Amino acid sequence: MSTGQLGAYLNDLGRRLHGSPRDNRRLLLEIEAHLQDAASKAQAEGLSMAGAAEVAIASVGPAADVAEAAARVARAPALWIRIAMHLVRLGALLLIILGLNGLLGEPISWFAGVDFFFGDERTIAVSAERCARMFRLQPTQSTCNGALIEHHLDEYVEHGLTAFVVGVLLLWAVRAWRFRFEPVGLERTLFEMGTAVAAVIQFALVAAIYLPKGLLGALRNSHLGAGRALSVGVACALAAGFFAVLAIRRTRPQSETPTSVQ
Amino acid sequence: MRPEELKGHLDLLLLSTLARAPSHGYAVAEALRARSTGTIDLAEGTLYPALHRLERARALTSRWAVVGGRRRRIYALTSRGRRALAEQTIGWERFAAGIRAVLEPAR
Repeated sequence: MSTGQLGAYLNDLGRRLHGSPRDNRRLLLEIEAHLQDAASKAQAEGLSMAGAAEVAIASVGPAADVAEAAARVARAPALWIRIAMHLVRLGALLLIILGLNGLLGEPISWFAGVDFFFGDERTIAVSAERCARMFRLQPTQSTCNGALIEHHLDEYVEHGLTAFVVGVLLLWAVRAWRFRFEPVGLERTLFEMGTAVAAVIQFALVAAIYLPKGLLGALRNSHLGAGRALSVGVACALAAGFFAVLAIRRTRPQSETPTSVQ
Repeated sequence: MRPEELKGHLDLLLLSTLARAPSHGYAVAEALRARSTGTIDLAEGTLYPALHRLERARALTSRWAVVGGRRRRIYALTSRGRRALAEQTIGWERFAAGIRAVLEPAR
């Protein structure tokens, strides 16, 4: 029999399966044995190797149908695991948005000036010891408070970068986990819409706190340091808007065209 | 028979086939085709998820075994599976009798 055709079919099926690795492996082993049995029988009836492989594959059915049938019986993780993954996902999204906000600090401060972010620290009294440390960290600055502000901006960007990377890694881990459990139908809608709604609430609350603070600071002409609040507020307002659109889209019914026998 | 016509009856067919003897997926598919004289001819790959579902519902148990030189998963009916088979058979007979009764005057 043509092991190439059968192998290609199994590879295709393997790519389509969204169950746990253990379940996928078991199903693939069973389908492989089934294909070999069907191909052996077809060969015994006089078909060529390639013809026998074609007959075997046709008897098993399209890989998409088998994968669809398998997805319907995939084992769902326990409720507490799902809730935990929701929370991790939300945390990852928060880190990414805050990270983006931090990463924006560099170009915004270049455009609007460093004081827009940390200008309020110009009046802070700095001890001689800390001052010496700031000058060591920022040797190009001529004043102690200037070095402190520059240092804080660097921290702002660095922490943002760290938050962004951690957030992306967490989100990737959650996505990898979800790949092994693909909820369908109403459960999928609730799973995705629930996260989107929670994200809207989360980011809208943060935006509601920081956006007025930043805007008032900028409007009152006392803009020193208003950039921090403004950038967090704007980033979170945009994120809330994005997830609101996502939640609305999730409420639309998904088109499902099951073709497999259940 | 179209696949959609089998919806809801596949469990009964699988339980009934396995009630005769423990078997692997390919043999179950062959038995279904032979006993239905070719009427039931479905995408055989979709049998396996159905067998897995029945196993999770504890209607079946399974184990790996080497049969005919190949490693296969052998499925067998449990006591719960036998009860389910009995219940579903009664349900099917009532359903078939009802359909037959409706069709009767038209003949």
